[in-house]
Amino acid sequence: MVAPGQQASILESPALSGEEANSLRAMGLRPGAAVRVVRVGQPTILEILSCGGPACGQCGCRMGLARGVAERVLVQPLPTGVEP
Amino acid sequence: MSDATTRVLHVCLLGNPNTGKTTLLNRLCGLRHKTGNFPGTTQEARVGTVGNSGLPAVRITDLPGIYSLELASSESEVCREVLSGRTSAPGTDAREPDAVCIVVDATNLERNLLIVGEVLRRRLPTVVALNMVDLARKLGTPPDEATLSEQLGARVVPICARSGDGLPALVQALQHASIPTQTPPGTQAGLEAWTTSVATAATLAAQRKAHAGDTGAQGKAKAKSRMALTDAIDRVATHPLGGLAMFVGVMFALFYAIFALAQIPMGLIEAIFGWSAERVQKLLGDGLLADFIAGGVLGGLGGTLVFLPQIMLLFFLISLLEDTGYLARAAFVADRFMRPFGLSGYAFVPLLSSHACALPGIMATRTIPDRKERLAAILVAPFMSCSARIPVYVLLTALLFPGKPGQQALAFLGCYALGAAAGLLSSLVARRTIARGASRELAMELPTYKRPSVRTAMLSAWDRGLLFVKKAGTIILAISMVLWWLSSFPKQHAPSPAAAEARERAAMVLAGADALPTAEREAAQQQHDALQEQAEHLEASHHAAQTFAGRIGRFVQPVFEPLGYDWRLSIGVMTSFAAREVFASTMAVVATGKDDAEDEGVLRAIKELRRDDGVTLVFTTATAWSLLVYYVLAMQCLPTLAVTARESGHWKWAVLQLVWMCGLAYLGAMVVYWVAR
Repeated sequence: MVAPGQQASILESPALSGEEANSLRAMGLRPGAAVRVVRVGQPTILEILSCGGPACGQCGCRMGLARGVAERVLVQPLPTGVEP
Repeated sequence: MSDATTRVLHVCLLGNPNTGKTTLLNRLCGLRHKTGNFPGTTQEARVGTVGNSGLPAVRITDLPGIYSLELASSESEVCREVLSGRTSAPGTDAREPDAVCIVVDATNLERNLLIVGEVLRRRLPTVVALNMVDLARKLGTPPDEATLSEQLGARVVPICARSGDGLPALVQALQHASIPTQTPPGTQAGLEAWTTSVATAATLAAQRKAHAGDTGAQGKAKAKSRMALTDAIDRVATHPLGGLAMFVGVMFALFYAIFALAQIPMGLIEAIFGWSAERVQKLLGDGLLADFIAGGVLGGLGGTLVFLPQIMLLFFLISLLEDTGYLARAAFVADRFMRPFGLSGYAFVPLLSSHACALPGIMATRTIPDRKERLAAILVAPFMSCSARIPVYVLLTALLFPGKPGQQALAFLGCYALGAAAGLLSSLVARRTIARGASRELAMELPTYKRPSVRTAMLSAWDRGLLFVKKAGTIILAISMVLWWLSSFPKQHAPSPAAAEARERAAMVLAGADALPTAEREAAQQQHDALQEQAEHLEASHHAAQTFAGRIGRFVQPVFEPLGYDWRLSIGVMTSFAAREVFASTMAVVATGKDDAEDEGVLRAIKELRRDDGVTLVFTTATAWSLLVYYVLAMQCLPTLAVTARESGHWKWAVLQLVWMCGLAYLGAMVVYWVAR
């Protein structure tokens, strides 16, 4: 569980169905992507900081996930102050 | 053989949603584009042409916005089919495109590169339009286009679709597009790693080239402050209570604007058609041709086109809202209260669009990824009160609450609420029976908030307006002409006994009035005029009863008897199966013989219309409420049934929709009639 404001890295999420996982990957939530948690709950809002490489630092692209899908996305919290 | 100036290049416009594809097409082609569907699909295809002298013209097909070509969605499938030349937009040849223009958001490069890689793997001539470079500059350093071009092996053109910067260079690049010199890896994991490597190279090269040392810091500071603002708005817009309040406020403002702003153009359209009909009758005199043009053609067209301002306004405002980025947030708010009924936030925009017309609403259900949820949304979309119901609501609420605009407005809103509630409850039934299963959990991109493009919204409204005018000029016009014929023939020359009696009484009232004092003479004259008017109404009613439409009305009347409808209302309900908006003009014709239900005198005539016994009113409180409920719930739109059959893949769903909605309407109207009588 991560709190709003925290940064995290997306992990392989076996609980997601194939099409769901493919769709999230295409939208940028792929394993290795760095995100900032904006909001937790319904919906959970994630700001994508990078899709895997060094952050472009500009995009601010954000994803809204319904609680049911957010609960099945595995993440690894990143230490505070670490640039993704 | 054709030379360069006559050849037309076939270019496909591809890219992620929210990258500015439509803005680019609008900038390049303006109004010179056509909207249709890809053959055999529900995917909308917009095709426009752009060209400059001496070089081939470029015909651009705007493909649906997608994140990847390899997903199972219908949008991705259409894009795959078009790129492989197996299908094409209407009016274009089904062949591989001469070039693909991929629109990439410069502020979100890495993710956008996935689809670029998928297209490059297809070895088609490709140009990358690097859009929103102006915004990328404001937020930091935009990717270095030379490095990006080198890494991709394809031409990269920086553009700003909103301002039009870089578009001439883009058109030129498309006219000289060549097959890319690089081929990305074939596996998905390999492709993802490739996007990271290309994005990193382009970003680092740009940072190295940046002159001012503090440019990056300034950009990052701007990006942070922008994100802080977005965070703050999102906290309210998606909050369980704040989000709901904002949602209700925005929806109220949307509908209020549609009704308030459309009043003037609607009045203007009515006046133009009224004036034209008058001119025609003055020019041609009394006769069949004048009747046909004034009643059948102008009456039918005017009665339909009067809703054009509302339809265009709805799409204009929805486009503005969508452009601001708010609609995606609203979908999450709607997701909360729609989920208990078996629908998710994916169904929100399709159902919202259905308030203008169920046709685009049903077509918009393609964005719902779950097949069964999509079926449920298709089946219930026509419950949303569309603009064709508005004239019926106006007429009936005016009859129920004469001179009380506040109560009329409340009844009007009640109709919308009843339609939405019936739709949600019907969805619940569908999801527990014929379309069982859980909805896909909502996951969608929340675009950054931005100032909406009025130009794009106007073009969207124009597009929708044009489609509606085409429908009015074809299907609805044909229906109006048939109805005019049914309501006009056979011509009845035998006078109505009741009308003859009224005329006789009128003559008696006036006889000997000359000898009376002035006040009594004037009163007698008034009584005479009223009786003459009544005679005319009785004559018109007598004539209407003898026409084919009248005979049909009497034939079907027993079916509607339990709902309290006489043969006149039965005709009105039956003619509405061709188009709902016909009800108001049908009642005007039946009541007075004039085709103008807006006139106050006509409204009074409709209100005072009596059954054959000459005593009981046709429109009692009970029948008016019953009709209102019937019109909110009934399925009375043949084009909607056709679209339902096409979208759901089978006619059985259209038949089910018809039976369910009409059955519910019949039961609801009957209950209301028996309770209110």
